[in-house]
Amino acid sequence: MDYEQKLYVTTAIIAAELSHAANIASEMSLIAKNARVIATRAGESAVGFKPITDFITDFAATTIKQANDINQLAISISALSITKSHAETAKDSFSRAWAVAGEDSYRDKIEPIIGKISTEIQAAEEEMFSIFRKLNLQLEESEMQIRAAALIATSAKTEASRAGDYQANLNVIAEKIEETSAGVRTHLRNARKSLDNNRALIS
Amino acid sequence: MKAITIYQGENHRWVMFGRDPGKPEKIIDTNQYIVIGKNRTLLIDPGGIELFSTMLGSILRHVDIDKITDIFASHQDPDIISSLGLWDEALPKARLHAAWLWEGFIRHFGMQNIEYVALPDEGGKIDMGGGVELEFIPAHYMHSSGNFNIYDPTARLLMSGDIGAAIEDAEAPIDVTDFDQHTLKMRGFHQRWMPSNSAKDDWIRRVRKLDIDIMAPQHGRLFKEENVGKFLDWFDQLTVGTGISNKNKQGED
Repeated sequence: MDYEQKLYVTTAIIAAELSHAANIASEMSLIAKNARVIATRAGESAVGFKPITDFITDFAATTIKQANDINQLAISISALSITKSHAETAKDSFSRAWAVAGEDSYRDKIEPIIGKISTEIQAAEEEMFSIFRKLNLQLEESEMQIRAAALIATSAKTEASRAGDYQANLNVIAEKIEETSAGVRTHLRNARKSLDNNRALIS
Repeated sequence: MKAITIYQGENHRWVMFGRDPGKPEKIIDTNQYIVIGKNRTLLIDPGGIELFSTMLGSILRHVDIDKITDIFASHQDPDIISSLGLWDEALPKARLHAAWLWEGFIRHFGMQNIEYVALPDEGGKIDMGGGVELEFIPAHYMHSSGNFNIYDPTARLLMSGDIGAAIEDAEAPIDVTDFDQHTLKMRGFHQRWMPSNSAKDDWIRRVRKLDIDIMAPQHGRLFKEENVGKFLDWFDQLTVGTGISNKNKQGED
Protein backbone atom coordinates (compact mmCIF):
# COMPACT_ATOMS: atom_id res chain seq x y z
CA MET A 1 0.00 0.00 0.00
CA ASP A 2 1.50 3.33 -0.96
CA TYR A 3 1.61 6.53 1.01
CA GLU A 4 -1.56 8.07 -0.47
CA GLN A 5 -3.61 4.93 -0.07
CA LYS A 6 -2.69 4.82 3.59
CA LEU A 7 -3.78 8.39 3.97
CA TYR A 8 -7.08 7.79 2.17
CA VAL A 9 -7.75 4.83 4.41
CA THR A 10 -6.73 6.64 7.60
CA THR A 11 -8.92 9.66 6.97
CA ALA A 12 -11.86 7.49 5.91
CA ILE A 13 -11.54 5.38 9.08
CA ILE A 14 -11.30 8.44 11.32
CA ALA A 15 -14.35 10.02 9.66
CA ALA A 16 -16.31 6.78 9.99
CA GLU A 17 -15.39 6.38 13.69
CA LEU A 18 -16.43 9.97 14.41
CA SER A 19 -19.66 9.41 12.51
CA HIS A 20 -20.42 6.42 14.79
CA ALA A 21 -19.56 8.57 17.82
CA ALA A 22 -21.93 11.31 16.55
CA ASN A 23 -24.76 8.78 16.19
CA ILE A 24 -24.25 7.66 19.80
CA ALA A 25 -24.07 11.31 20.89
CA SER A 26 -27.50 11.91 19.29
CA GLU A 27 -28.84 9.04 21.37
CA MET A 28 -27.16 10.58 24.42
CA SER A 29 -28.93 13.85 23.78
CA LEU A 30 -32.32 12.09 23.90
CA ILE A 31 -31.33 10.31 27.12
CA ALA A 32 -30.39 13.66 28.69
CA LYS A 33 -33.78 15.14 27.73
CA ASN A 34 -35.55 12.16 29.26
CA ALA A 35 -33.40 12.43 32.41
CA ARG A 36 -34.29 16.10 32.77
CA VAL A 37 -38.04 15.30 32.74
CA ILE A 38 -37.62 12.56 35.36
CA ALA A 39 -35.36 14.73 37.54
CA THR A 40 -37.96 17.53 37.43
CA ARG A 41 -40.68 15.11 38.53
CA ALA A 42 -38.40 13.77 41.27
CA GLY A 43 -37.97 17.31 42.60
CA GLU A 44 -35.60 17.88 45.54
CA SER A 45 -34.52 14.24 45.78
CA ALA A 46 -32.93 14.45 42.28
CA VAL A 47 -31.64 18.00 42.42
CA GLY A 48 -28.06 16.82 41.73
CA PHE A 49 -29.18 15.21 38.48
CA LYS A 50 -29.96 18.46 36.67
CA PRO A 51 -26.35 19.67 36.18
CA ILE A 52 -25.50 16.16 35.01
CA THR A 53 -28.17 16.29 32.30
CA ASP A 54 -26.96 19.77 31.34
CA PHE A 55 -23.43 18.46 30.93
CA ILE A 56 -24.57 15.44 28.92
CA THR A 57 -26.66 17.67 26.63
CA ASP A 58 -23.66 19.95 26.04
CA PHE A 59 -21.33 16.99 25.60
CA ALA A 60 -23.61 15.40 23.01
CA ALA A 61 -23.86 18.66 21.05
CA THR A 62 -20.09 19.17 21.19
CA THR A 63 -19.40 15.61 20.08
CA ILE A 64 -21.75 15.97 17.10
CA LYS A 65 -20.11 19.26 16.12
CA GLN A 66 -16.61 17.85 16.47
CA ALA A 67 -17.56 14.81 14.43
CA ASN A 68 -18.78 17.09 11.64
CA ASP A 69 -15.64 19.24 11.86
CA ILE A 70 -13.36 16.22 11.77
CA ASN A 71 -15.33 14.79 8.88
CA GLN A 72 -14.79 18.01 6.92
CA LEU A 73 -11.07 17.90 7.67
CA ALA A 74 -10.92 14.26 6.59
CA ILE A 75 -12.70 15.12 3.31
CA SER A 76 -10.22 17.96 2.70
CA ILE A 77 -7.28 15.64 3.34
CA SER A 78 -8.73 13.04 0.98
CA ALA A 79 -9.26 15.64 -1.77
CA LEU A 80 -5.71 16.99 -1.36
CA SER A 81 -4.35 13.50 -1.27
CA ILE A 82 -6.07 12.74 -4.60
CA THR A 83 -4.77 16.01 -6.09
CA LYS A 84 -1.27 15.11 -4.97
CA SER A 85 -1.53 11.57 -6.25
CA HIS A 86 -2.76 12.75 -9.68
CA ALA A 87 -0.04 15.39 -9.84
CA GLU A 88 2.62 12.78 -9.00
CA THR A 89 1.29 10.52 -11.76
CA ALA A 90 1.34 13.46 -14.16
CA LYS A 91 4.89 14.42 -13.14
CA ASP A 92 6.03 10.85 -13.64
CA SER A 93 4.32 10.69 -17.07
CA PHE A 94 5.85 13.97 -18.27
CA SER A 95 9.29 12.98 -16.97
CA ARG A 96 9.09 9.71 -18.89
CA ALA A 97 7.94 11.60 -22.02
CA TRP A 98 10.96 13.88 -21.62
CA ALA A 99 13.24 10.82 -21.55
CA VAL A 100 11.47 9.18 -24.51
CA ALA A 101 11.74 12.34 -26.63
CA GLY A 102 15.54 12.41 -26.36
CA GLU A 103 17.84 15.33 -27.02
CA ASP A 104 16.93 15.88 -30.65
CA SER A 105 13.39 17.04 -29.93
CA TYR A 106 11.25 19.84 -28.56
CA ARG A 107 11.38 18.37 -25.06
CA ASP A 108 12.58 21.60 -23.40
CA LYS A 109 8.97 22.78 -23.78
CA ILE A 110 7.74 20.27 -21.20
CA GLU A 111 10.27 21.25 -18.53
CA PRO A 112 8.12 24.19 -17.30
CA ILE A 113 5.13 21.82 -17.09
CA ILE A 114 7.14 19.45 -14.87
CA GLY A 115 8.19 22.43 -12.71
CA LYS A 116 4.59 23.64 -12.37
CA ILE A 117 3.39 20.17 -11.36
CA SER A 118 6.20 19.87 -8.77
CA THR A 119 5.04 23.14 -7.20
CA GLU A 120 1.46 21.84 -7.09
CA ILE A 121 2.62 18.66 -5.37
CA GLN A 122 4.52 20.61 -2.73
CA ALA A 123 1.58 22.96 -2.08
CA ALA A 124 -0.85 20.05 -1.71
CA GLU A 125 1.55 18.29 0.64
CA GLU A 126 1.98 21.34 2.88
CA GLU A 127 -1.75 22.02 3.08
CA MET A 128 -2.48 18.37 3.75
CA PHE A 129 -0.03 18.22 6.65
CA SER A 130 -1.44 21.43 8.11
CA ILE A 131 -4.98 20.00 8.05
CA PHE A 132 -3.72 16.73 9.47
CA ARG A 133 -2.35 18.61 12.48
CA LYS A 134 -5.72 20.36 12.94
CA LEU A 135 -7.41 16.99 12.84
CA ASN A 136 -5.08 15.76 15.56
CA LEU A 137 -5.95 18.75 17.78
CA GLN A 138 -9.69 18.21 17.26
CA LEU A 139 -9.34 14.60 18.25
CA GLU A 140 -7.40 15.56 21.39
CA GLU A 141 -10.24 17.92 22.40
CA SER A 142 -12.81 15.17 21.91
CA GLU A 143 -10.73 12.82 24.03
CA MET A 144 -10.58 15.33 26.89
CA GLN A 145 -14.36 15.73 26.74
CA ILE A 146 -14.98 12.01 26.89
CA ARG A 147 -12.78 11.65 29.97
CA ALA A 148 -15.01 14.21 31.72
CA ALA A 149 -18.11 12.38 30.46
CA ALA A 150 -16.88 9.15 32.08
CA LEU A 151 -16.65 10.91 35.45
CA ILE A 152 -20.13 12.39 35.00
CA ALA A 153 -21.52 8.94 34.26
CA THR A 154 -20.21 7.75 37.66
CA SER A 155 -21.73 10.81 39.39
CA ALA A 156 -25.06 10.06 37.70
CA LYS A 157 -25.13 6.65 39.40
CA THR A 158 -24.47 8.24 42.80
CA GLU A 159 -27.17 10.86 42.27
CA ALA A 160 -29.64 8.22 41.11
CA SER A 161 -29.18 6.27 44.34
CA ARG A 162 -30.44 9.33 46.28
CA ALA A 163 -33.58 9.86 44.19
CA GLY A 164 -36.07 7.92 46.38
CA ASP A 165 -39.05 6.72 44.33
CA TYR A 166 -37.30 7.73 41.10
CA GLN A 167 -34.14 5.76 41.91
CA ALA A 168 -34.95 2.91 39.51
CA ASN A 169 -35.77 5.24 36.59
CA LEU A 170 -32.69 7.38 37.13
CA ASN A 171 -30.51 4.27 37.55
CA VAL A 172 -31.56 3.16 34.08
CA ILE A 173 -30.69 6.65 32.81
CA ALA A 174 -27.31 6.60 34.60
CA GLU A 175 -26.50 3.21 33.04
CA LYS A 176 -27.42 4.49 29.61
CA ILE A 177 -25.20 7.52 30.11
CA GLU A 178 -22.34 5.22 31.10
CA GLU A 179 -23.01 2.91 28.18
CA THR A 180 -23.19 5.69 25.57
CA SER A 181 -20.08 7.42 27.00
CA ALA A 182 -18.22 4.13 26.69
CA GLY A 183 -19.47 3.80 23.10
CA VAL A 184 -18.23 7.27 22.16
CA ARG A 185 -14.92 6.55 23.93
CA THR A 186 -14.42 3.31 21.96
CA HIS A 187 -14.89 5.10 18.63
CA LEU A 188 -12.56 7.94 19.65
CA ARG A 189 -9.93 5.38 20.67
CA ASN A 190 -10.26 3.66 17.30
CA ALA A 191 -9.86 7.01 15.55
CA ARG A 192 -6.79 7.74 17.70
CA LYS A 193 -5.25 4.37 16.79
CA SER A 194 -5.65 5.12 13.08
CA LEU A 195 -4.11 8.53 13.55
CA ASP A 196 -1.18 7.11 15.55
CA ASN A 197 -0.46 4.66 12.76
CA ASN A 198 0.31 7.74 10.65
CA ARG A 199 2.14 9.61 13.40
CA ALA A 200 4.96 10.44 10.99
CA LEU A 201 2.59 12.71 9.06
CA ILE A 202 1.87 15.00 12.00
CA SER A 203 5.22 15.07 13.77
CA MET B 1 6.61 3.32 -30.44
CA LYS B 2 6.95 3.60 -34.21
CA ALA B 3 6.26 6.92 -35.88
CA ILE B 4 5.68 6.76 -39.63
CA THR B 5 4.85 9.57 -42.01
CA ILE B 6 1.94 8.16 -43.99
CA TYR B 7 1.30 11.26 -46.07
CA GLN B 8 3.56 14.19 -46.93
CA GLY B 9 1.91 16.99 -48.87
CA GLU B 10 2.98 20.46 -49.76
CA ASN B 11 1.28 22.08 -46.81
CA HIS B 12 0.61 19.27 -44.36
CA ARG B 13 1.79 15.91 -43.12
CA TRP B 14 0.15 12.86 -41.51
CA VAL B 15 2.21 10.88 -38.99
CA MET B 16 1.03 7.57 -37.57
CA PHE B 17 2.18 6.40 -34.12
CA GLY B 18 1.74 2.82 -32.99
CA ARG B 19 3.13 -0.71 -32.72
CA ASP B 20 4.50 0.12 -29.29
CA PRO B 21 6.60 -2.83 -28.04
CA GLY B 22 6.85 -1.21 -24.59
CA LYS B 23 3.13 -1.03 -23.91
CA PRO B 24 1.72 -3.06 -20.99
CA GLU B 25 0.85 -6.57 -22.18
CA LYS B 26 -2.91 -6.57 -21.59
CA ILE B 27 -3.52 -3.17 -23.15
CA ILE B 28 -4.82 -3.19 -26.70
CA ASP B 29 -2.41 -1.77 -29.31
CA THR B 30 -3.63 1.46 -30.88
CA ASN B 31 -2.74 3.75 -33.77
CA GLN B 32 -2.54 7.44 -33.04
CA TYR B 33 -2.23 10.08 -35.71
CA ILE B 34 -1.11 13.66 -35.93
CA VAL B 35 -1.74 16.07 -38.79
CA ILE B 36 0.79 18.88 -38.91
CA GLY B 37 -0.60 21.75 -40.95
CA LYS B 38 0.50 25.29 -41.72
CA ASN B 39 -1.60 26.93 -39.04
CA ARG B 40 -2.85 24.08 -36.88
CA THR B 41 -1.69 20.69 -35.68
CA LEU B 42 -4.33 18.09 -34.91
CA LEU B 43 -3.76 15.14 -32.61
CA ILE B 44 -6.16 12.32 -33.54
CA ASP B 45 -7.33 9.74 -30.98
CA PRO B 46 -4.35 10.41 -28.67
CA GLY B 47 -4.79 7.11 -26.83
CA GLY B 48 -5.03 5.71 -23.34
CA ILE B 49 -3.41 7.05 -20.20
CA GLU B 50 -0.87 4.20 -20.17
CA LEU B 51 0.52 5.33 -23.52
CA PHE B 52 0.72 9.03 -22.72
CA SER B 53 4.45 9.27 -21.94
CA THR B 54 5.53 7.31 -25.00
CA MET B 55 3.08 9.18 -27.19
CA LEU B 56 4.10 12.66 -26.00
CA GLY B 57 7.79 11.74 -26.19
CA SER B 58 7.33 10.48 -29.75
CA ILE B 59 5.34 13.52 -30.84
CA LEU B 60 7.99 15.91 -29.52
CA ARG B 61 10.40 14.46 -32.08
CA HIS B 62 8.12 15.75 -34.85
CA VAL B 63 6.45 18.89 -33.63
CA ASP B 64 6.82 21.59 -31.01
CA ILE B 65 4.17 21.14 -28.31
CA ASP B 66 3.12 24.78 -28.68
CA LYS B 67 2.08 24.02 -32.24
CA ILE B 68 -0.50 21.39 -31.23
CA THR B 69 -3.73 23.34 -31.34
CA ASP B 70 -6.41 20.67 -31.61
CA ILE B 71 -7.30 17.18 -30.49
CA PHE B 72 -9.90 14.90 -32.01
CA ALA B 73 -11.60 11.95 -30.30
CA SER B 74 -13.47 9.70 -32.71
CA HIS B 75 -15.52 8.45 -29.77
CA GLN B 76 -15.38 8.11 -25.99
CA ASP B 77 -13.54 4.82 -25.41
CA PRO B 78 -10.64 4.76 -22.90
CA ASP B 79 -8.14 3.58 -25.54
CA ILE B 80 -9.07 6.71 -27.52
CA ILE B 81 -9.01 9.48 -24.98
CA SER B 82 -8.41 8.37 -21.36
CA SER B 83 -5.10 10.29 -21.49
CA LEU B 84 -7.08 13.55 -21.74
CA GLY B 85 -6.32 14.62 -18.15
CA LEU B 86 -2.59 14.66 -18.97
CA TRP B 87 -3.01 16.33 -22.37
CA ASP B 88 -4.98 18.93 -20.47
CA GLU B 89 -1.77 19.75 -18.56
CA ALA B 90 0.38 19.61 -21.70
CA LEU B 91 -1.92 21.55 -24.05
CA PRO B 92 -3.97 23.89 -21.89
CA LYS B 93 -4.96 26.08 -24.86
CA ALA B 94 -6.00 23.24 -27.16
CA ARG B 95 -9.51 22.47 -28.38
CA LEU B 96 -10.99 18.97 -28.28
CA HIS B 97 -13.32 18.06 -31.15
CA ALA B 98 -15.65 15.20 -30.30
CA ALA B 99 -19.31 14.25 -30.54
CA TRP B 100 -21.71 16.51 -28.61
CA LEU B 101 -23.20 13.29 -27.26
CA TRP B 102 -20.10 12.42 -25.25
CA GLU B 103 -19.17 15.74 -23.68
CA GLY B 104 -20.49 14.95 -20.20
CA PHE B 105 -18.78 11.56 -20.32
CA ILE B 106 -15.41 12.51 -21.80
CA ARG B 107 -15.00 15.24 -19.20
CA HIS B 108 -14.73 12.43 -16.62
CA PHE B 109 -11.22 11.83 -17.97
CA GLY B 110 -10.22 15.26 -16.60
CA MET B 111 -10.51 18.51 -18.52
CA GLN B 112 -9.83 21.77 -16.72
CA ASN B 113 -8.22 23.80 -19.49
CA ILE B 114 -8.94 22.34 -22.92
CA GLU B 115 -12.01 23.66 -24.73
CA TYR B 116 -14.61 21.06 -25.77
CA VAL B 117 -15.83 21.67 -29.32
CA ALA B 118 -19.04 19.66 -29.53
CA LEU B 119 -19.47 18.22 -33.02
CA PRO B 120 -23.08 18.12 -34.21
CA ASP B 121 -24.40 14.81 -35.55
CA GLU B 122 -23.88 15.93 -39.15
CA GLY B 123 -20.15 16.58 -38.54
CA GLY B 124 -18.04 19.58 -39.49
CA LYS B 125 -14.70 20.81 -40.84
CA ILE B 126 -11.41 22.17 -39.55
CA ASP B 127 -9.16 24.52 -41.51
CA MET B 128 -5.55 23.47 -41.06
CA GLY B 129 -4.15 26.36 -43.08
CA GLY B 130 -2.43 26.34 -46.46
CA GLY B 131 -5.68 25.38 -48.16
CA VAL B 132 -5.98 22.12 -46.24
CA GLU B 133 -9.36 21.37 -44.74
CA LEU B 134 -10.23 18.18 -42.83
CA GLU B 135 -13.80 16.90 -42.60
CA PHE B 136 -15.38 15.25 -39.57
CA ILE B 137 -17.49 12.52 -41.18
CA PRO B 138 -20.38 10.99 -39.17
CA ALA B 139 -19.88 7.31 -38.34
CA HIS B 140 -22.52 6.97 -35.66
CA TYR B 141 -23.04 3.44 -34.29
CA MET B 142 -19.75 2.42 -35.91
CA HIS B 143 -19.26 1.33 -33.15
CA SER B 144 -20.11 4.12 -30.72
CA SER B 145 -23.45 5.93 -30.71
CA GLY B 146 -21.63 9.25 -31.20
CA ASN B 147 -18.78 8.48 -33.62
CA PHE B 148 -16.82 10.38 -36.27
CA ASN B 149 -14.14 9.65 -38.89
CA ILE B 150 -11.81 12.23 -40.41
CA TYR B 151 -11.58 12.65 -44.16
CA ASP B 152 -8.74 14.57 -45.76
CA PRO B 153 -9.71 15.31 -49.40
CA THR B 154 -6.23 16.67 -50.19
CA ALA B 155 -4.40 13.56 -48.98
CA ARG B 156 -7.37 11.35 -50.01
CA LEU B 157 -7.06 9.78 -46.58
CA LEU B 158 -9.83 8.50 -44.32
CA MET B 159 -9.06 8.01 -40.63
CA SER B 160 -11.75 5.43 -39.95
CA GLY B 161 -11.62 4.93 -36.17
CA ASP B 162 -12.55 1.35 -35.27
CA ILE B 163 -13.79 0.58 -38.78
CA GLY B 164 -11.17 -1.63 -40.42
CA ALA B 165 -9.55 -2.36 -37.06
CA ALA B 166 -7.56 -5.51 -36.39
CA ILE B 167 -5.40 -6.53 -33.46
CA GLU B 168 -1.77 -6.91 -34.45
CA ASP B 169 1.48 -7.51 -32.62
CA ALA B 170 4.23 -4.88 -32.45
CA GLU B 171 6.16 -6.44 -35.33
CA ALA B 172 3.27 -6.53 -37.82
CA PRO B 173 3.64 -4.58 -41.07
CA ILE B 174 1.95 -1.20 -41.29
CA ASP B 175 0.02 -1.93 -44.49
CA VAL B 176 -2.44 -4.67 -45.37
CA THR B 177 -0.56 -6.91 -47.79
CA ASP B 178 -2.80 -9.98 -48.13
CA PHE B 179 -6.38 -8.74 -47.84
CA ASP B 180 -8.03 -12.19 -47.63
CA GLN B 181 -5.71 -13.22 -44.80
CA HIS B 182 -6.35 -9.92 -43.07
CA THR B 183 -10.12 -10.45 -43.02
CA LEU B 184 -9.53 -13.31 -40.57
CA LYS B 185 -8.23 -10.75 -38.07
CA MET B 186 -11.12 -8.35 -38.67
CA ARG B 187 -14.19 -10.54 -38.95
CA GLY B 188 -14.87 -11.32 -35.30
CA PHE B 189 -14.16 -7.80 -34.19
CA HIS B 190 -16.47 -6.16 -36.72
CA GLN B 191 -19.27 -8.65 -36.24
CA ARG B 192 -19.28 -8.23 -32.48
CA TRP B 193 -18.39 -4.55 -32.04
CA MET B 194 -20.41 -2.99 -34.86
CA PRO B 195 -23.96 -3.03 -33.60
CA SER B 196 -26.09 -2.01 -36.59
CA ASN B 197 -26.34 -3.35 -40.14
CA SER B 198 -28.31 -0.30 -41.28
CA ALA B 199 -25.68 2.08 -39.81
CA LYS B 200 -22.99 0.03 -41.55
CA ASP B 201 -24.83 0.19 -44.91
CA ASP B 202 -25.33 3.93 -44.55
CA TRP B 203 -21.63 4.47 -43.76
CA ILE B 204 -20.51 2.35 -46.74
CA ARG B 205 -22.88 4.22 -49.07
CA ARG B 206 -21.43 7.59 -48.01
CA VAL B 207 -17.79 6.47 -47.95
CA ARG B 208 -17.98 4.95 -51.44
CA LYS B 209 -18.56 8.49 -52.74
CA LEU B 210 -15.22 9.69 -51.32
CA ASP B 211 -11.87 9.48 -53.11
CA ILE B 212 -9.73 7.43 -50.74
CA ASP B 213 -6.13 6.32 -51.26
CA ILE B 214 -5.49 5.43 -47.62
CA MET B 215 -7.91 4.16 -44.99
CA ALA B 216 -6.28 4.43 -41.57
CA PRO B 217 -8.00 2.67 -38.65
CA GLN B 218 -7.30 3.12 -34.95
CA HIS B 219 -6.05 -0.47 -34.58
CA GLY B 220 -4.11 -2.61 -37.03
CA ARG B 221 -2.98 -1.90 -40.57
CA LEU B 222 -3.53 0.73 -43.21
CA PHE B 223 -5.64 -0.06 -46.30
CA LYS B 224 -4.15 1.47 -49.44
CA GLU B 225 -5.33 1.81 -53.03
CA GLU B 226 -7.37 -1.24 -54.11
CA ASN B 227 -7.54 -2.60 -50.57
CA VAL B 228 -9.84 0.28 -49.65
CA GLY B 229 -12.42 -0.93 -52.16
CA LYS B 230 -11.86 -4.54 -51.10
CA PHE B 231 -12.55 -3.57 -47.52
CA LEU B 232 -15.80 -1.79 -48.42
CA ASP B 233 -16.97 -4.81 -50.45
CA TRP B 234 -16.03 -7.23 -47.68
CA PHE B 235 -17.70 -5.09 -45.03
CA ASP B 236 -20.81 -4.72 -47.21
CA GLN B 237 -21.50 -8.46 -47.15
CA LEU B 238 -20.70 -8.88 -43.45
CA THR B 239 -23.53 -9.27 -40.97
CA VAL B 240 -22.79 -7.33 -37.80
CA GLY B 241 -24.38 -7.04 -34.36
CA THR B 242 -23.87 -10.72 -33.66
CA GLY B 243 -23.85 -10.27 -29.89
CA ILE B 244 -27.63 -10.35 -29.99
CA SER B 245 -27.96 -13.25 -32.41
CA ASN B 246 -25.41 -15.32 -30.49
CA LYS B 247 -27.41 -14.76 -27.33
CA ASN B 248 -30.61 -15.78 -29.11
CA LYS B 249 -28.96 -18.93 -30.39
CA GLN B 250 -27.85 -19.80 -26.88
CA GLY B 251 -31.45 -19.27 -25.74
CA GLU B 252 -32.74 -21.58 -28.46
CA ASP B 253 -30.26 -24.26 -27.48
